[in-house]
Amino acid sequence: MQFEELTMEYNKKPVFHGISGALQDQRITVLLGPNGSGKTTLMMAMAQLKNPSKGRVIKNAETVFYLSQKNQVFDYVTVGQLLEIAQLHGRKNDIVSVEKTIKNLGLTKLLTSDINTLSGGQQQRTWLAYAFLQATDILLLDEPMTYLDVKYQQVLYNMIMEGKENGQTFLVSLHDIEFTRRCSDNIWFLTANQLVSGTKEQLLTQNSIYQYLGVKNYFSSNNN
Amino acid sequence: MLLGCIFLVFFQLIFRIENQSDWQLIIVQLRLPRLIFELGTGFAIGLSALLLAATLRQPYLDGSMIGIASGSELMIALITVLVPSSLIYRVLIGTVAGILCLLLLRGSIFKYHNHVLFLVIGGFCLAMFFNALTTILTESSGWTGKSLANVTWLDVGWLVLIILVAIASWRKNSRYLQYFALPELQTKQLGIDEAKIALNLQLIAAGLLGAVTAVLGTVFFAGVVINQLIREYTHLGIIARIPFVIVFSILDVLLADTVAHFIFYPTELPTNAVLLVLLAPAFLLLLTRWSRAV
Ligand SMILES: Nc1ncnc2c1ncn2[C@@H]1O[C@H](COP(=O)(O)OP(=O)(O)OP(=O)(O)O)[C@@H](O)[C@H]1O
Ligand SMILES: [Mg+2]
Repeated sequence: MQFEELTMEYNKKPVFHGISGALQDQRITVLLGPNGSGKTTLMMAMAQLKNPSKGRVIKNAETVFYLSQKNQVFDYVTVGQLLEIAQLHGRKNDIVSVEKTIKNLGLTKLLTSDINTLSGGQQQRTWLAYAFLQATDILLLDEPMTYLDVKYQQVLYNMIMEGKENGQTFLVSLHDIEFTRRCSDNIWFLTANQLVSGTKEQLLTQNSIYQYLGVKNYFSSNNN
Repeated sequence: MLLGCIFLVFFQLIFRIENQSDWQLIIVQLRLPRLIFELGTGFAIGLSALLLAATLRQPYLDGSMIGIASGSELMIALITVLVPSSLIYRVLIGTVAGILCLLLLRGSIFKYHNHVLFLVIGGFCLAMFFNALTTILTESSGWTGKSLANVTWLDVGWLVLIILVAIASWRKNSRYLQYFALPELQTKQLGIDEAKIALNLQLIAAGLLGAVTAVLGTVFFAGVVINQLIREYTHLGIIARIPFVIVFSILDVLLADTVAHFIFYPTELPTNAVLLVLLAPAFLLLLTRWSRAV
């Protein structure tokens, strides 16, 4: 999947313009950028949920699913009911892997709970299960670590790795450099008129963290 | 609830029939059409509130609060002034008015459906505006003063027809209703043509509400209270809740009209006002549920 000369705007105000990039198949790419730089907007364009004002997204037959950074249900819906929808529409219909996903994310006991009464992390786990059960070729995960405790951060890490082994492609937006280092194959830094891409060895350096994320002594202050 | 409905149906049919000779006439000409209309009214109020709340993703809304009911009432007031002879088709006229109102809303306020306050206040302004016009036209407030006493068989016929059309359209669209519990972003990814389905479901809601309002008048908040009360007490999702909402709504209307008809018999009370009063305890119940959840 790739995009060319992409310009996105809200009410004629551009978020970024003329951005090109290609998502490497069966790899994990981490999308980094400050708040408001347009990570969510870019992912929505890639999932064809928001039309670009210029440029285009080129996609073969791959299926794509985008998991939003904020998710919500508007009525009484149980975890089980939501996951049933995912199962119905996803391609991962075999009962074993469905149950495995539910168990991994610790949802077994929550299946009959109303989603609106769950804690932030429990809700996020529910939506992650929803995303993974879609079993699309490409998964766009927008800040999937939000609200997760340490244990489920690790669970998520394992699930992403396993997905990659099974041939899935990931684009994950994150604000966590350590997690990025652990799971990424490629890095994308998003700026207003350029998408800087490279391997983590090339890009997870003090220089680029300062240049693209604006943190001066990320590594030295971290080690102190 | 079902038993309550059945009891009230029989009660209304046979209670206080004193004059033995013309009991058949009373039942056939007065009570039966009125009773069928009540059933239809309960059905319409319950279903329309549920459909509008679901498709707008705003649980605390119904057609009375955003002006659909008042629009229908205003149209009836206009017809009363301009061409009173066409009032025999008031149910059909109400349906058309409800639908016109919906289209007006969709072209304006619904565009900002993500801004809850705008939707609620904008809708309420429209409702009050219609209400004011109705008051000017009829020299009486549109809020109260309507009774189901003068329901005719023609009214019933049109209502049944409109309900049948609504059910036909419902059958085509109903399986998508559950997805309105998900964010728009997700329904899009499920490949659901949300715009079209929302329109169809809202047309059903507006048509039904317009039809019954033409006779009953506006009953503010009834739909919301009924829909939310059932949700709070059954913990059922949108689809599973429907039969309960409808039966509860029918029960409310039956009860309201029984009270309106018999309590100061032979003086009729306005059914819509009685319904509102009857729902006040339900509303209080709902408030305590909410306050406990806070
Ligand atoms: N619905 C909207 N209407 C108007 N402007 C918007 C809308 N959504 C986002 N924007 C603007 O577009 C810009 C990019 O937003 P976006 O959500 O893509 O950023 P982000 O990189 O995902 O940020 P974060 O790290 O906070 O999630 C922001 O400046 C934001 O104000
Ligand atoms: Mg974002």
